[in-house]
Amino acid sequence: MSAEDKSKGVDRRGFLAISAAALGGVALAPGLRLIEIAGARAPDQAAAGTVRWGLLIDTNKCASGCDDCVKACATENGLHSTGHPRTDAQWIRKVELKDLRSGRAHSAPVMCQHCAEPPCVDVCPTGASFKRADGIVLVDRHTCIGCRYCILACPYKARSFVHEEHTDQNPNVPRGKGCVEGCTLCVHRVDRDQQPACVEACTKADHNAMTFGDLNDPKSEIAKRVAQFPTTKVRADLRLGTGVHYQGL
Amino acid sequence: MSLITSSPRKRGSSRWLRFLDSRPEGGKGPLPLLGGNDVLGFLLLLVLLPSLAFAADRTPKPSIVIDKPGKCVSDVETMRREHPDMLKHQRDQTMHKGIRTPRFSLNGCVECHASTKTGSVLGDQGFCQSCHAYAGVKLDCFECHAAGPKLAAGTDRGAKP
Repeated sequence: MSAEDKSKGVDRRGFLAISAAALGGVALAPGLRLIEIAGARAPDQAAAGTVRWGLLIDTNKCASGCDDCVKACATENGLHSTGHPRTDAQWIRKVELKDLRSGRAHSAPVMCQHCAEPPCVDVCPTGASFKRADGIVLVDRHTCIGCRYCILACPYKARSFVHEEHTDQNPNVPRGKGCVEGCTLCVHRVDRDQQPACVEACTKADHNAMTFGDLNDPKSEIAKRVAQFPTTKVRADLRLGTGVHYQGL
Repeated sequence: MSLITSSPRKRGSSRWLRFLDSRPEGGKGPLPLLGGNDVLGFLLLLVLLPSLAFAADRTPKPSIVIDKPGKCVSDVETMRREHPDMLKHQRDQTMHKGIRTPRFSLNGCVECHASTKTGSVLGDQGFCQSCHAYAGVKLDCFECHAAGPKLAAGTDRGAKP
Protein backbone atom coordinates (compact mmCIF):
# COMPACT_ATOMS: atom_id res chain seq x y z
CA MET A 1 0.00 0.00 0.00
CA SER A 2 1.48 3.29 -1.02
CA ALA A 3 1.56 6.30 1.25
CA GLU A 4 -1.01 7.98 -0.94
CA ASP A 5 -3.45 5.07 -0.61
CA LYS A 6 -2.93 5.04 3.14
CA SER A 7 -3.84 8.68 3.50
CA LYS A 8 -6.88 8.12 1.29
CA GLY A 9 -7.95 5.24 3.54
CA VAL A 10 -7.65 7.37 6.63
CA ASP A 11 -9.60 10.07 4.91
CA ARG A 12 -12.37 7.68 4.11
CA ARG A 13 -12.42 6.39 7.66
CA GLY A 14 -12.47 9.92 8.96
CA PHE A 15 -15.30 10.79 6.68
CA LEU A 16 -17.29 7.76 7.83
CA ALA A 17 -16.70 8.62 11.46
CA ILE A 18 -17.89 12.17 10.95
CA SER A 19 -20.97 11.11 9.02
CA ALA A 20 -21.80 8.46 11.64
CA ALA A 21 -21.54 11.09 14.34
CA ALA A 22 -23.71 13.42 12.32
CA LEU A 23 -26.32 10.72 11.78
CA GLY A 24 -26.27 9.85 15.47
CA GLY A 25 -26.89 13.48 16.25
CA VAL A 26 -29.84 13.58 13.98
CA ALA A 27 -31.29 10.38 15.36
CA LEU A 28 -30.64 11.08 19.05
CA ALA A 29 -30.97 14.76 19.77
CA PRO A 30 -34.05 15.64 17.79
CA GLY A 31 -35.58 12.18 18.18
CA LEU A 32 -38.79 14.09 17.99
CA ARG A 33 -38.11 14.99 14.40
CA LEU A 34 -38.59 11.41 13.27
CA ILE A 35 -41.83 11.31 15.23
CA GLU A 36 -43.10 14.47 13.65
CA ILE A 37 -42.61 12.94 10.22
CA ALA A 38 -44.32 9.73 11.29
CA GLY A 39 -47.23 11.51 12.93
CA ALA A 40 -48.13 13.88 10.14
CA ARG A 41 -47.87 11.61 7.15
CA ALA A 42 -48.76 13.23 3.86
CA PRO A 43 -51.64 11.55 1.97
CA ASP A 44 -49.27 10.41 -0.80
CA GLN A 45 -46.77 8.90 1.62
CA ALA A 46 -46.84 5.18 2.30
CA ALA A 47 -47.31 3.90 5.84
CA ALA A 48 -43.87 3.68 7.39
CA GLY A 49 -42.26 0.68 9.04
CA THR A 50 -40.77 3.00 11.66
CA VAL A 51 -44.21 3.32 13.22
CA ARG A 52 -45.83 0.58 15.29
CA TRP A 53 -49.41 1.46 16.09
CA GLY A 54 -50.68 0.04 19.35
CA LEU A 55 -53.42 0.24 21.91
CA LEU A 56 -53.17 0.26 25.68
CA ILE A 57 -56.28 -0.71 27.60
CA ASP A 58 -56.38 0.10 31.30
CA THR A 59 -58.75 -2.47 32.80
CA ASN A 60 -58.81 -0.54 36.09
CA LYS A 61 -60.67 2.24 34.32
CA CYS A 62 -62.81 0.04 32.11
CA ALA A 63 -66.20 -0.23 33.79
CA SER A 64 -68.13 -3.46 33.71
CA GLY A 65 -71.19 -3.12 31.50
CA CYS A 66 -69.93 -0.04 29.65
CA ASP A 67 -69.92 -0.60 25.90
CA ASP A 68 -69.20 2.89 24.59
CA CYS A 69 -66.26 1.58 22.53
CA VAL A 70 -68.35 -1.20 20.99
CA LYS A 71 -71.10 1.23 20.02
CA ALA A 72 -68.63 3.74 18.58
CA CYS A 73 -67.02 0.97 16.52
CA ALA A 74 -70.39 -0.09 15.12
CA THR A 75 -71.32 3.47 14.20
CA GLU A 76 -67.97 4.27 12.61
CA ASN A 77 -67.68 1.08 10.61
CA GLY A 78 -71.34 0.66 9.70
CA LEU A 79 -71.84 -2.61 11.60
CA HIS A 80 -75.56 -3.09 11.86
CA SER A 81 -77.54 -5.96 13.25
CA THR A 82 -78.88 -8.19 10.50
CA GLY A 83 -81.38 -9.78 12.85
CA HIS A 84 -79.14 -12.82 13.25
CA PRO A 85 -77.07 -12.05 16.35
CA ARG A 86 -75.17 -15.35 16.19
CA THR A 87 -73.59 -14.48 12.87
CA ASP A 88 -73.41 -10.68 13.09
CA ALA A 89 -69.95 -9.26 12.55
CA GLN A 90 -68.16 -8.42 15.77
CA TRP A 91 -65.04 -6.32 15.55
CA ILE A 92 -64.79 -5.53 19.24
CA ARG A 93 -66.47 -7.11 22.26
CA LYS A 94 -66.48 -6.61 25.97
CA VAL A 95 -65.12 -9.51 27.98
CA GLU A 96 -65.84 -9.85 31.69
CA LEU A 97 -63.28 -11.78 33.73
CA LYS A 98 -63.50 -12.91 37.33
CA ASP A 99 -60.98 -14.62 39.51
CA LEU A 100 -63.22 -17.08 41.34
CA ARG A 101 -60.92 -17.41 44.36
CA SER A 102 -60.36 -13.75 45.11
CA GLY A 103 -63.49 -12.43 43.43
CA ARG A 104 -61.49 -9.75 41.62
CA ALA A 105 -63.33 -8.83 38.41
CA HIS A 106 -62.06 -7.24 35.24
CA SER A 107 -63.80 -5.92 32.21
CA ALA A 108 -61.97 -5.19 28.99
CA PRO A 109 -62.63 -4.78 25.30
CA VAL A 110 -61.04 -7.41 23.06
CA MET A 111 -60.50 -6.84 19.38
CA CYS A 112 -57.89 -7.77 16.77
CA GLN A 113 -54.63 -7.62 18.71
CA HIS A 114 -52.67 -6.56 15.61
CA CYS A 115 -49.94 -9.13 16.08
CA ALA A 116 -46.40 -8.61 14.86
CA GLU A 117 -46.49 -12.27 13.76
CA PRO A 118 -50.14 -12.70 12.83
CA PRO A 119 -51.34 -16.31 12.43
CA CYS A 120 -54.16 -15.08 10.18
CA VAL A 121 -51.56 -13.88 7.68
CA ASP A 122 -49.68 -17.19 7.87
CA VAL A 123 -52.71 -19.26 6.93
CA CYS A 124 -54.28 -17.01 4.29
CA PRO A 125 -54.12 -18.84 0.93
CA THR A 126 -54.54 -15.71 -1.21
CA GLY A 127 -52.52 -13.09 0.66
CA ALA A 128 -55.68 -11.17 1.47
CA SER A 129 -54.88 -11.17 5.17
CA PHE A 130 -51.81 -9.00 5.54
CA LYS A 131 -49.91 -6.76 7.91
CA ARG A 132 -49.26 -3.19 6.91
CA ALA A 133 -45.80 -1.70 7.40
CA ASP A 134 -47.02 0.17 10.48
CA GLY A 135 -48.28 -3.00 12.16
CA ILE A 136 -51.99 -2.81 11.35
CA VAL A 137 -53.36 -6.22 10.35
CA LEU A 138 -56.01 -5.99 7.64
CA VAL A 139 -58.05 -8.02 5.18
CA ASP A 140 -57.87 -7.03 1.53
CA ARG A 141 -61.43 -7.82 0.50
CA HIS A 142 -60.47 -7.63 -3.15
CA THR A 143 -58.50 -10.86 -2.78
CA CYS A 144 -60.36 -12.47 0.14
CA ILE A 145 -62.20 -15.60 -1.03
CA GLY A 146 -64.05 -16.07 2.24
CA CYS A 147 -62.42 -19.39 3.15
CA ARG A 148 -62.31 -18.41 6.84
CA TYR A 149 -59.01 -20.10 7.64
CA CYS A 150 -57.99 -16.89 9.41
CA ILE A 151 -61.03 -17.06 11.66
CA LEU A 152 -59.87 -20.47 12.83
CA ALA A 153 -56.24 -19.43 13.12
CA CYS A 154 -56.86 -16.33 15.25
CA PRO A 155 -56.44 -17.13 18.95
CA TYR A 156 -58.42 -14.01 19.88
CA LYS A 157 -61.57 -14.79 17.86
CA ALA A 158 -61.15 -11.36 16.36
CA ARG A 159 -62.37 -12.05 12.84
CA SER A 160 -65.91 -12.27 11.52
CA PHE A 161 -67.42 -13.44 8.28
CA VAL A 162 -70.03 -11.32 6.55
CA HIS A 163 -72.98 -13.57 5.80
CA GLU A 164 -75.44 -11.08 4.40
CA GLU A 165 -75.54 -8.35 1.82
CA HIS A 166 -75.08 -4.81 3.06
CA THR A 167 -76.27 -1.62 1.47
CA ASP A 168 -75.51 1.23 3.82
CA GLN A 169 -71.75 1.21 4.19
CA ASN A 170 -69.70 4.10 5.43
CA PRO A 171 -67.93 5.38 2.28
CA ASN A 172 -64.62 4.97 4.14
CA VAL A 173 -65.34 1.43 5.31
CA PRO A 174 -66.36 -0.79 2.41
CA ARG A 175 -67.75 -4.13 3.52
CA GLY A 176 -69.95 -6.76 1.97
CA LYS A 177 -71.09 -10.34 1.82
CA GLY A 178 -68.60 -13.16 1.42
CA CYS A 179 -65.48 -11.69 3.02
CA VAL A 180 -63.81 -11.94 6.38
CA GLU A 181 -63.30 -8.78 8.36
CA GLY A 182 -62.03 -7.58 11.68
CA CYS A 183 -60.87 -4.50 13.59
CA THR A 184 -58.85 -2.27 11.29
CA LEU A 185 -57.73 0.03 14.12
CA CYS A 186 -59.89 2.48 12.12
CA VAL A 187 -57.14 2.61 9.53
CA HIS A 188 -59.04 5.24 7.51
CA ARG A 189 -58.96 7.52 10.52
CA VAL A 190 -55.37 6.68 11.51
CA ASP A 191 -54.23 7.58 7.99
CA ARG A 192 -55.79 11.00 8.55
CA ASP A 193 -54.10 11.49 11.93
CA GLN A 194 -57.19 10.69 13.92
CA GLN A 195 -57.67 8.21 16.75
CA PRO A 196 -59.65 4.99 16.33
CA ALA A 197 -63.36 5.49 17.03
CA CYS A 198 -63.31 3.32 20.19
CA VAL A 199 -60.48 5.30 21.73
CA GLU A 200 -62.12 8.59 20.86
CA ALA A 201 -65.42 7.48 22.39
CA CYS A 202 -63.73 6.22 25.55
CA THR A 203 -61.86 9.49 25.99
CA LYS A 204 -64.89 11.60 25.15
CA ALA A 205 -66.95 9.83 27.81
CA ASP A 206 -64.11 10.59 30.24
CA HIS A 207 -63.32 6.93 30.94
CA ASN A 208 -59.80 7.28 29.53
CA ALA A 209 -59.32 3.53 29.58
CA MET A 210 -57.89 3.38 26.06
CA THR A 211 -54.72 4.93 24.67
CA PHE A 212 -53.74 4.77 21.05
CA GLY A 213 -50.35 5.67 19.66
CA ASP A 214 -47.00 4.72 18.21
CA LEU A 215 -45.25 2.16 20.42
CA ASN A 216 -41.98 2.88 18.62
CA ASP A 217 -42.04 6.54 19.57
CA PRO A 218 -40.58 6.88 23.09
CA LYS A 219 -42.23 10.27 23.49
CA SER A 220 -45.74 9.05 22.79
CA GLU A 221 -48.19 8.66 25.67
CA ILE A 222 -48.63 4.94 24.99
CA ALA A 223 -44.91 4.17 24.87
CA LYS A 224 -44.35 6.11 28.10
CA ARG A 225 -47.10 4.22 29.88
CA VAL A 226 -45.96 0.86 28.57
CA ALA A 227 -42.48 1.72 29.85
CA GLN A 228 -43.79 2.91 33.23
CA PHE A 229 -46.50 0.42 34.18
CA PRO A 230 -46.62 -3.36 34.03
CA THR A 231 -48.72 -4.38 31.07
CA THR A 232 -49.83 -7.75 29.78
CA LYS A 233 -50.49 -9.12 26.35
CA VAL A 234 -53.29 -11.65 26.04
CA ARG A 235 -51.87 -15.12 25.40
CA ALA A 236 -48.33 -13.78 25.57
CA ASP A 237 -47.19 -17.42 25.59
CA LEU A 238 -47.97 -17.58 21.87
CA ARG A 239 -45.32 -14.88 21.33
CA LEU A 240 -47.28 -13.15 18.60
CA GLY A 241 -46.06 -9.69 19.58
CA THR A 242 -49.49 -8.15 19.90
CA GLY A 243 -49.95 -4.43 19.43
CA VAL A 244 -52.72 -4.30 22.02
CA HIS A 245 -51.51 -4.13 25.61
CA TYR A 246 -53.59 -4.52 28.76
CA GLN A 247 -52.84 -2.78 32.02
CA GLY A 248 -54.19 -4.14 35.32
CA LEU A 249 -55.11 -7.59 34.10
CA MET B 1 -79.88 -49.02 -20.22
CA SER B 2 -82.97 -49.97 -22.18
CA LEU B 3 -82.54 -46.86 -24.35
CA ILE B 4 -79.16 -48.00 -25.58
CA THR B 5 -80.19 -51.58 -26.35
CA SER B 6 -83.35 -50.57 -28.25
CA SER B 7 -81.39 -48.22 -30.55
CA PRO B 8 -81.35 -49.41 -34.23
CA ARG B 9 -77.60 -49.01 -34.36
CA LYS B 10 -74.87 -48.12 -31.92
CA ARG B 11 -75.11 -44.43 -31.18
CA GLY B 12 -71.96 -42.37 -31.47
CA SER B 13 -70.51 -40.86 -28.37
CA SER B 14 -69.26 -37.63 -29.96
CA ARG B 15 -71.44 -34.57 -30.31
CA TRP B 16 -71.22 -34.69 -34.11
CA LEU B 17 -72.39 -38.29 -34.27
CA ARG B 18 -75.23 -37.50 -31.92
CA PHE B 19 -76.16 -34.60 -34.22
CA LEU B 20 -76.28 -36.91 -37.24
CA ASP B 21 -78.39 -39.36 -35.31
CA SER B 22 -80.87 -36.64 -34.43
CA ARG B 23 -81.92 -36.38 -38.08
CA PRO B 24 -85.44 -37.56 -38.94
CA GLU B 25 -86.08 -41.08 -40.28
CA GLY B 26 -83.84 -42.68 -37.74
CA GLY B 27 -80.79 -40.66 -38.69
CA LYS B 28 -81.06 -41.18 -42.44
CA GLY B 29 -82.91 -38.00 -43.54
CA PRO B 30 -81.25 -34.87 -44.95
CA LEU B 31 -79.12 -32.67 -42.69
CA PRO B 32 -81.53 -30.27 -40.96
CA LEU B 33 -79.64 -27.11 -41.98
CA LEU B 34 -79.86 -27.94 -45.66
CA GLY B 35 -83.62 -28.63 -45.68
CA GLY B 36 -85.76 -26.85 -48.31
CA ASN B 37 -87.30 -24.37 -45.84
CA ASP B 38 -83.96 -23.53 -44.26
CA VAL B 39 -82.50 -22.28 -47.56
CA LEU B 40 -85.28 -19.75 -47.72
CA GLY B 41 -84.64 -18.76 -44.11
CA PHE B 42 -80.94 -18.33 -44.81
CA LEU B 43 -81.66 -16.03 -47.78
CA LEU B 44 -84.05 -14.01 -45.64
CA LEU B 45 -81.36 -13.64 -42.98
CA LEU B 46 -78.86 -12.44 -45.63
CA VAL B 47 -81.29 -9.71 -46.68
CA LEU B 48 -82.14 -8.68 -43.14
CA LEU B 49 -78.66 -8.77 -41.64
CA PRO B 50 -77.40 -5.36 -42.83
CA SER B 51 -80.57 -3.64 -41.67
CA LEU B 52 -80.23 -5.31 -38.25
CA ALA B 53 -76.61 -4.30 -37.97
CA PHE B 54 -77.35 -0.65 -38.57
CA ALA B 55 -80.40 -0.44 -36.34
CA ALA B 56 -78.63 1.73 -33.79
CA ASP B 57 -81.67 2.27 -31.63
CA ARG B 58 -82.00 -1.39 -30.78
CA THR B 59 -80.08 -0.90 -27.54
CA PRO B 60 -80.74 2.29 -25.63
CA LYS B 61 -77.61 4.37 -25.11
CA PRO B 62 -76.47 4.77 -21.51
CA SER B 63 -77.67 7.88 -19.78
CA ILE B 64 -74.68 9.98 -18.91
CA VAL B 65 -76.01 12.76 -16.73
CA ILE B 66 -73.48 14.62 -14.65
CA ASP B 67 -75.29 16.69 -12.07
CA LYS B 68 -72.14 18.39 -10.88
CA PRO B 69 -70.45 19.84 -13.95
CA GLY B 70 -66.74 20.32 -13.57
CA LYS B 71 -63.45 18.86 -14.63
CA CYS B 72 -62.85 15.16 -14.18
CA VAL B 73 -59.40 13.94 -13.16
CA SER B 74 -58.59 13.25 -16.81
CA ASP B 75 -60.14 13.80 -20.25
CA VAL B 76 -63.21 11.83 -21.28
CA GLU B 77 -61.46 9.44 -23.71
CA THR B 78 -58.82 8.51 -21.13
CA MET B 79 -61.42 8.08 -18.42
CA ARG B 80 -63.59 5.82 -20.56
CA ARG B 81 -60.69 3.59 -21.44
CA GLU B 82 -58.52 3.70 -18.34
CA HIS B 83 -60.77 4.16 -15.32
CA PRO B 84 -60.63 0.50 -14.28
CA ASP B 85 -56.84 0.57 -14.23
CA MET B 86 -56.76 3.87 -12.38
CA LEU B 87 -59.12 2.51 -9.74
CA LYS B 88 -57.31 -0.78 -9.42
CA HIS B 89 -53.93 0.88 -9.01
CA GLN B 90 -55.27 3.28 -6.41
CA ARG B 91 -57.05 0.45 -4.64
CA ASP B 92 -53.81 -1.43 -4.00
CA GLN B 93 -51.98 1.73 -2.99
CA THR B 94 -54.66 2.62 -0.46
CA MET B 95 -55.23 -0.87 0.88
CA HIS B 96 -51.63 -1.94 1.32
CA LYS B 97 -49.72 1.30 1.76
CA GLY B 98 -52.32 3.61 3.22
CA ILE B 99 -51.91 6.15 0.43
CA ARG B 100 -55.15 8.12 0.36
CA THR B 101 -54.70 10.70 -2.36
CA PRO B 102 -58.05 12.03 -3.57
CA ARG B 103 -57.36 12.03 -7.32
CA PHE B 104 -58.12 8.43 -8.27
CA SER B 105 -60.12 7.46 -5.21
CA LEU B 106 -63.41 5.66 -5.76
CA ASN B 107 -64.97 7.87 -3.10
CA GLY B 108 -64.00 10.87 -5.20
CA CYS B 109 -65.72 9.39 -8.29
CA VAL B 110 -68.84 8.60 -6.34
CA GLU B 111 -69.03 12.02 -4.71
CA CYS B 112 -69.09 13.78 -8.08
CA HIS B 113 -71.00 11.27 -10.14
CA ALA B 114 -73.76 10.19 -7.76
CA SER B 115 -77.09 11.45 -9.00
CA THR B 116 -78.50 14.27 -6.91
CA LYS B 117 -81.93 12.66 -7.17
CA THR B 118 -81.08 9.15 -6.00
CA GLY B 119 -77.78 9.93 -4.28
CA SER B 120 -76.23 6.94 -6.05
CA VAL B 121 -74.16 5.95 -9.06
CA LEU B 122 -76.40 2.89 -9.41
CA GLY B 123 -79.91 2.46 -10.75
CA ASP B 124 -81.05 2.51 -14.39
CA GLN B 125 -80.05 6.14 -14.79
CA GLY B 126 -77.02 5.88 -12.49
CA PHE B 127 -73.72 7.08 -13.91
CA CYS B 128 -71.85 3.81 -13.36
CA GLN B 129 -74.59 1.26 -13.79
CA SER B 130 -76.22 2.61 -16.96
CA CYS B 131 -72.92 2.50 -18.87
CA HIS B 132 -71.86 -0.86 -17.46
CA ALA B 133 -75.24 -2.32 -18.40
CA TYR B 134 -74.81 -0.98 -21.94
CA ALA B 135 -71.30 -2.40 -22.23
CA GLY B 136 -72.29 -5.67 -20.56
CA VAL B 137 -69.52 -5.41 -17.97
CA LYS B 138 -70.19 -6.62 -14.45
CA LEU B 139 -69.96 -3.88 -11.88
CA ASP B 140 -69.12 -5.34 -8.49
CA CYS B 141 -67.42 -2.41 -6.73
CA PHE B 142 -70.64 -1.50 -5.00
CA GLU B 143 -71.29 -4.84 -3.43
CA CYS B 144 -68.93 -3.55 -0.74
CA HIS B 145 -68.30 0.13 -1.49
CA ALA B 146 -70.90 2.78 -0.79
CA ALA B 147 -72.64 3.81 -4.00
CA GLY B 148 -73.23 7.35 -2.85
CA PRO B 149 -71.90 9.96 -0.47
CA LYS B 150 -72.83 9.47 3.17
CA LEU B 151 -76.52 10.25 3.51
CA ALA B 152 -78.65 10.86 6.54
CA ALA B 153 -79.84 7.67 8.19
CA GLY B 154 -82.90 6.08 6.64
CA THR B 155 -82.52 7.73 3.23
CA ASP B 156 -83.12 5.27 0.42
CA ARG B 157 -80.19 4.99 -1.92
CA GLY B 158 -81.77 2.74 -4.53
CA ALA B 159 -81.26 -0.93 -5.27
CA LYS B 160 -77.86 -2.52 -5.71
CA PRO B 161 -77.15 -4.51 -8.88
